[in-house]
Amino acid sequence: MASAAASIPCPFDEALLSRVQYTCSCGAPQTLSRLYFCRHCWAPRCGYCVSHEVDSHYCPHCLENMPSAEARLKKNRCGNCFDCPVCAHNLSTRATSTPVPRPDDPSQLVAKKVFYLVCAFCHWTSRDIGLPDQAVASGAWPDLEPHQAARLAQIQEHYRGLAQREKLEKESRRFLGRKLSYMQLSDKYGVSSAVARKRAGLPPAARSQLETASGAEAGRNAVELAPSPAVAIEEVEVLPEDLFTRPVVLSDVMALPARLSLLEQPPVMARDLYLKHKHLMIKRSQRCRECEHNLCKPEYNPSSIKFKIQLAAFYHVPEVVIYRVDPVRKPGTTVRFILKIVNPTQHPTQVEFLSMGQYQAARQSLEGAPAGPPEISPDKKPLGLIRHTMLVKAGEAQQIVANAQCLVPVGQVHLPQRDDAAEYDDTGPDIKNVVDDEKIVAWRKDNRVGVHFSARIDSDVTPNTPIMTSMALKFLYTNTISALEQKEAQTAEIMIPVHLNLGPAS
Amino acid sequence: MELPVIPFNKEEYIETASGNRVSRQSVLCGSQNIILNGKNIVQGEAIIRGDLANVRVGRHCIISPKSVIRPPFKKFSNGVAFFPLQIGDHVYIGEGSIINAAVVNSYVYIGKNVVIGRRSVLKDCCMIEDNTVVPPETIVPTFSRYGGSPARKIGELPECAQDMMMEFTKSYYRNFMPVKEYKQ
Amino acid sequence: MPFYEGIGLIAEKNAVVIELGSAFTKVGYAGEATPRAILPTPELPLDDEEALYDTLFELIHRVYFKHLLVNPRDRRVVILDPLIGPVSLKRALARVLFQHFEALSVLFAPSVLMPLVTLGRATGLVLDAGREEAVILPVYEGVPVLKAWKATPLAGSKAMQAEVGRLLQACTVKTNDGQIQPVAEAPQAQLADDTIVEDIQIRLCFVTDLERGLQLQKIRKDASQVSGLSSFLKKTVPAVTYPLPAGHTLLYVDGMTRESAAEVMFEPDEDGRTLASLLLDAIIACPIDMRRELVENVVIVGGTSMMVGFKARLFQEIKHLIKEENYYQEKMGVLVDQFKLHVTPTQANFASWTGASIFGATDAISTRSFTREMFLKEKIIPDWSDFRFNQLYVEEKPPT
Repeated sequence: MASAAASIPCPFDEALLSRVQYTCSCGAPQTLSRLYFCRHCWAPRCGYCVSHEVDSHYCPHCLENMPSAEARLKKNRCGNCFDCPVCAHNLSTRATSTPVPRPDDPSQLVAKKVFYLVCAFCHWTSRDIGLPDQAVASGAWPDLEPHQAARLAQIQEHYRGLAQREKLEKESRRFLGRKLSYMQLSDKYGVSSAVARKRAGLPPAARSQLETASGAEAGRNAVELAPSPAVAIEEVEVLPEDLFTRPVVLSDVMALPARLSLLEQPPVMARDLYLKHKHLMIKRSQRCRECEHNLCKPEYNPSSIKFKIQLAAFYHVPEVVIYRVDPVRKPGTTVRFILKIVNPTQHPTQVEFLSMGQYQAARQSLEGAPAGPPEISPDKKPLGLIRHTMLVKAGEAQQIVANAQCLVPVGQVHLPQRDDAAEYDDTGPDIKNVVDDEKIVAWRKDNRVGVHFSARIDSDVTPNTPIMTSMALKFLYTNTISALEQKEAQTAEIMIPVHLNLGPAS
Repeated sequence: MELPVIPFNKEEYIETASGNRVSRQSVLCGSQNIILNGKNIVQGEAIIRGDLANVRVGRHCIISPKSVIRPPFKKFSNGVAFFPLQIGDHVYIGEGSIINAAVVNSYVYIGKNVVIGRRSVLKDCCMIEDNTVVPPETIVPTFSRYGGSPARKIGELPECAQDMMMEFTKSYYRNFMPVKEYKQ
Repeated sequence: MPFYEGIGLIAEKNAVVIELGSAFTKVGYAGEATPRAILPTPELPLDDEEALYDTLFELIHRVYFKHLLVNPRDRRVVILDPLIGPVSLKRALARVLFQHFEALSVLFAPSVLMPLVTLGRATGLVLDAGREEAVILPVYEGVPVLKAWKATPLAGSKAMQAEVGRLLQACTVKTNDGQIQPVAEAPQAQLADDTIVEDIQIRLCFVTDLERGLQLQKIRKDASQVSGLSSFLKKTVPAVTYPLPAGHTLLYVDGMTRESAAEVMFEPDEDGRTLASLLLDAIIACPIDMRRELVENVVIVGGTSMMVGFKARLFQEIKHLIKEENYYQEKMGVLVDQFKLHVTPTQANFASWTGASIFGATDAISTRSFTREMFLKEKIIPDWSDFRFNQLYVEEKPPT
């Protein structure tokens, strides 16, 4: 019994899911769960074809939202939660009591509640680096400042002033005509034109310093700044005295990930470690890059798994599942398999299957006269100042090459709508008038139907290479969004090529 | 994806009125403190420690063989107290996993040989990969995929994870068939 | 959230600063002292345009939505631009940023100048020791002296990492059954894994002083020729027990490995050049009246330079070379005691990033950037090696 349970596939296993891949409108193959279906363009969209937007920031530990302005101020870190600097697990607050002298009678001691932080995984504590316990549970831990923050701020101001002056000069030059010729500069130093170009691309420091040197409008806006002084090497770095005698305790020397995770003051030794504020996470919404409509918008609450807008293809496009495949798949022979087709929508649909040749032909005839829906409504306004949405077509490398020709069943298959109450209702959906062709339909239950397929495997397929075959799914899609505007539900036939991995050849 | 038929010995399992299928080989300590809300499967050698504190399990959950569900404790200055453990709907717990969490919300997939440290909270629609150690007091946010030791976020689940999980647990229940009726 | 978004549009929108290093990618916001995150740079397929585009897309997507947590659309970007680097990479990066992430503009900041920005200087001899190679480039009054450009792969940490891996083969392991055997014969000591070798390199290895270094180099060539070998070896640093992650195995990293691995960065290459001689050659390649200022303003950046003893050794080598070699004595003799070093205000591994961050927080971001409009019109990006951009600079007129 245990062995049967061991072979249960995980529903989120990408390798298994990718045995059935749908073709996005950009041409890239994607699993159904990673696709969206834009019901304004009537087309599938993958992660490449949508623009992602940051909706809200939240802390993954305390699960509290942080307004984006505050998140920007706090450098995307939660004020109250900390990560362990050693193992990156979150730190927990522990309370303890410590004896302190009584304020009114210092000769007597009273217990006072204090807090420290501890990692429940590696047992690192805030006491390890000598941080004193805090009197309040959260919010009182001091933060690290970057080394030389003041000096950097000064340098920043200096360059800001210089750049501003450069901008002003540029503007005034626009009126006065080009006064400053780069030719002069290049003559002055006898440098090549390449360097003259570099000169133009370099930070404003150089030129302004030249000007300062020549006394021309010295530092009008710029903060006067003494350049950092150089120091003799002996003062910078000497090998530690005890390097050759002191044994190294490996756990005291921090590994690279730890050094790179605390950038304000990167720790080299364990004593340099410091509390690390928890990094925030985001809720993200997706927008179609073609028509700018939202395809997916989660609810604001970080704990919620609901969506305000949910146009994942999983809820709109019939799901194709490889139900059963002949165990023997020899090159040059025909392999039979059954696909399970599931209708996830609230509307009954008709499904048809096209070979890739038929699909290409249908596609071409459609391109001559586009069939209604993809017209973008005029009320759409561009969001940004300059807006050029571009769908980048998938490259050749992403295309799936089939090594078996799919022999598709001819005829339509009716698929009833999804019924959430079906579990409690034995009568099932109304399919009285549907007559199934037994050559096509293997079985049917609720909104699911099993369909017979076969594919001719190329004779040059070597054993153990996966057998890939392609067909196109053509289904009737009922659009509910336009129903709001037009009384009647709009329907259209959508075609999406599907690639199937039938398993290794024998 | 299509689940295989999962055969079980008809003699071994008890089916309750609400559709729970519980193996006689499982160990349910303090069964008066254990609530299974219906259509759950508790497989052989699974242990649920209702004797420590209440354990509530929602609907359509699968508790695989050799897994342990054990309410978490918290240490106080004057001793140790156990807290109830709550599991939502459509939760899959893999073989040999130990669950010490305070709350496992709905639509959660927990792989094989996983340890969920005490007083952890697993929010809706999250997944813990096989052989993961989730340290005590971890919060696993929605739509995240955790793995490693200590566990950290290694990926995201698709937006339709809720329905994928629902479909998974339901078809597990459908395909969980007694041996006598099972033929191929 | 539209309320905050609205404020965001009016309030200053910090530019995003990205440095694609050979080992690590540093990302963050302009105007901040340190990057927000440093993540490993994925392997970049420079020859395959499509694959490169996809790799960069994934990387930038991760940067925006996992580390920076900000909408990429209509945001300005600063890219650190190595002067001598693959143009294909620069082009692909610009395409990803403009086409996919709809960046408002991209500012290419010459990476060699950026460490100088953090110092408020315009002149300096910049040595950038990264993973793949060490690059030396003098900058005078803000102008990189390109003809003096020198680079050597020997002084990259990658070369040293290979050496650590090689030396570790001679070390011993202790397995859980108490057996002690050489690494080369222990299959459970999985040293093939580069992360372990890199970890040992970073945590345990160091650069020794010149005197011992020269001895070590001699021993490496032919140990029998060295007098007092045993007493020399005795003086070395203590060995360290390193637990291997798999199979309860302990690795003894001996003192010689710790001390001598870095020698590979200072040994002469096939043409007899060393890092020190290249640095001197770079100075000599500059006009004579620049030299004193360059010597007095040496700036060393890059992760490799952070190894204990690296900078001290380099300066010892330089002085040794000037004293011993007639050629350098003649050219540089008067400057031998003038060598001075600058310490960047932030760590050497992201000093260039900090400079770009300062640069990107000035008005230069609006006056010097290459905008999306320009990109969409021209479909090219500026580069000094491209003749269209290399004519005497015409500021107001975009190239045609």
